Amino acid sequence: MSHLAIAPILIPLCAGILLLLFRYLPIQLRRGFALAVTLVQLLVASLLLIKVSDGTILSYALGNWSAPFGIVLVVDRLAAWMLLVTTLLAPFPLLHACRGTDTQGQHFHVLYQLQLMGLSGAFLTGDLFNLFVFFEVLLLASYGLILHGGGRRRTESSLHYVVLNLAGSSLFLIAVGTLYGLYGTLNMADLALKMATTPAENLGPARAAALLLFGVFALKAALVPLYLWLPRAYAHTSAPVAALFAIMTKVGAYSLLRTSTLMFGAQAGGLSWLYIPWLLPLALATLLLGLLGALAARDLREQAAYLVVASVGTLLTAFALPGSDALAAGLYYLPHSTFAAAALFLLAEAISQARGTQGDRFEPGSAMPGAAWLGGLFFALTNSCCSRRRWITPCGPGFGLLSWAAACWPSLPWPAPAACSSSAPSPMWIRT
Amino acid sequence: MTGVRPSLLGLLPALGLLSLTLAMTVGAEPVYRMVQATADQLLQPYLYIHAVLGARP
Repeated sequence: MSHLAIAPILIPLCAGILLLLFRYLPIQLRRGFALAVTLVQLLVASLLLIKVSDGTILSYALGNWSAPFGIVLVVDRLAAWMLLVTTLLAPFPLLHACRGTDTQGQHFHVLYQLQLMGLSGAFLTGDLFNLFVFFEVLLLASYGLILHGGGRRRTESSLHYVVLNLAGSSLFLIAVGTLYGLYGTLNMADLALKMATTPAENLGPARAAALLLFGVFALKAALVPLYLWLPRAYAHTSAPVAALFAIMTKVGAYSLLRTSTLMFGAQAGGLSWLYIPWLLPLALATLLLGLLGALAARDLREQAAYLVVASVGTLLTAFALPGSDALAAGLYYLPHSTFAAAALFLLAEAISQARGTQGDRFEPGSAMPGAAWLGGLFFALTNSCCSRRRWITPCGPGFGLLSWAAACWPSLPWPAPAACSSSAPSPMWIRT
Repeated sequence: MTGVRPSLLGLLPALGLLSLTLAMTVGAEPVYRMVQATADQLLQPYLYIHAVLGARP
């Protein structure tokens, strides 16, 4: 049994503890250490991806308690892919934070590592209760990160995030408890086996628990109507945190994909494809509302936050469509949109600093220094957002609807490039 | 009032992320082959179940 499977959890955990222990060392040393650790995690994730690239699925029994009695970590292609995306993203916000954000509050680097630990754990675990635990780990770290630096507006908008996620966690626990009561196991593979033969009298409670789970994951993924916490929380937190949180909505999307394919797939009997009739319309509505929000945004960071919502809509639309082509397109779109959204948050801060008192609000101002650089980068980035989709006129009030129509138009099953086709165009109307 | 001129170093993280998306576009074929294999694996959940629970019925 290779111990590599648990390394993505242990490395950030140990790094976080070390950073906490040595918090009185000079900041430069701690920054260097944190960056080095994220690079090691990238290396481990790449190794894991290479290991599973021939189709093997690694199962790691914690404490050598065999499944379904003990908790397992499972590395399949999807888990390794999500790990790689997270570890590819992680060094960049950290690098940005090292330019001053990390000293605006306490324990930034500790929380950052614990956040990475929670993310890795959520992708790796093969146990539903363990998934809850890692959700809690990443949420607790995220509460600290989102409030990092403080300030009235940040505290106010982050409070929604905290309260909603606390409610979500309680619902998660209720769903997990119900499933345990019905099936006597929380190992996802074992659950999948037992769900296939759910007796008729248990179908009702099983459905209710499954849909509660759906609600929890939809809240994490910021699906309509549970996306309202996202735009303000992301717009008002610090730029590196918002950039890292571009991956947070994808944890919800990942959980939806994992449960809907493993536990509620074709073989699940009375629970087959339980999520799909909910997922598709809600994902399309999310896409539409995200785009409308991006149009109505009053500043660049708020717009970037709405683009995150729209990208979740696109992603989950791809996940809701039948067939492996749409799934593959969604999995291709996932890192692309994550990187683009993260870069947009980082750039928004640079633009807002360059514009001085106007910040990143959409209002005319005097020429900003470095306009050619910032404008060029912004242009390249918005093009990058668009590169995977059909060209839609990027301005005008109708483009949200148009893009929605483009999303629906190629009748099911969707051809692969089209599933990527409707990400969010960014109206380029910020004045330099 | 104008603000601070951005330094290249400050824009480096955004540039890095941008280059990742560009790399994904240029090297789309191997990436796409991998995500296609991922999707195929996901749609065969018995592979996952078998890997976790072993040769149980």
